[in-house]
Amino acid sequence: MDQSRRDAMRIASGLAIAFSAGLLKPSEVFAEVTEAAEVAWGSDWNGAVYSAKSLEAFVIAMSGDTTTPNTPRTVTERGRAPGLSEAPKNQLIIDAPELAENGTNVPVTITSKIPKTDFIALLADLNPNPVCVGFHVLPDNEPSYSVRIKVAETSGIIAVARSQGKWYYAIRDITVMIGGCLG
Amino acid sequence: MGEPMRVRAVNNSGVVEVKVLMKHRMLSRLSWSTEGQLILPHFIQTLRGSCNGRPVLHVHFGGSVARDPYFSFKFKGGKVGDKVEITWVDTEGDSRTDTTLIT
Repeated sequence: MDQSRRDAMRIASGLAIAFSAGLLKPSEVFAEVTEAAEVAWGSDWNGAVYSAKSLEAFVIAMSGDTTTPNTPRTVTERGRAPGLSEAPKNQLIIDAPELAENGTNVPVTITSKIPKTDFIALLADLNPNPVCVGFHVLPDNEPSYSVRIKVAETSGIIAVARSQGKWYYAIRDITVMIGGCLG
Repeated sequence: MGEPMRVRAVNNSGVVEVKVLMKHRMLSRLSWSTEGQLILPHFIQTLRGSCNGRPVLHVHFGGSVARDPYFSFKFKGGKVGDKVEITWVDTEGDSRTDTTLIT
């Protein structure tokens, strides 16, 4: 019943002896520990990022810049954020229905073929809260996921991927018959 | 404690596809009830998954995810019989963990 605790105690005492005898340096042991747990979680949920009002505000908030005001986009500003550019064709694929009858539940699948993608986000352009999903691509993950989102009105669904510090976006327009942001 | 979610993990030639169906109201913004009471936003913020203790999923949700959200993702390096554990945490600090075995 208490076996694991006993084992831990035994290991701990053994380590203490090894340390005191100078056989093991603490740094070596801890290096091993961090290697064993090398797969790290992504960053924490960040209110500034997930309340961003546009694609550009989202990218700016992800960079940690809090001085730029969080404003809804204007058409002329499309894509104007540092390090943000349009993804090459067929590199960032959005799979969504062209016509969504019910905006409260729109299935979307996103796949990134950009090498070394480490983060993929999904935004619904004209929603009151555009940012839907931020996906940390962990080492074992394939850079692809499916989710169901709310879409307020006929607009674009935006996928944004980060690769080596650069941001790439792709847009797919969908038509919504009944808006889905009542909830 | 939230309501139980449905988790399914299927191994398909080395790649495990996990499908998660959560039960949550996912209210994205301030609203008022018919009695005039303020209802605060209430949605799942973080969804994490691990396979035998190894992190395989970390995703954050904003307010625009549909009610009773569905999420599916893929990871490499899982075997049949491995334990997949999925946990969500919402804006009120409520959380729910469910596990399944890879089939």
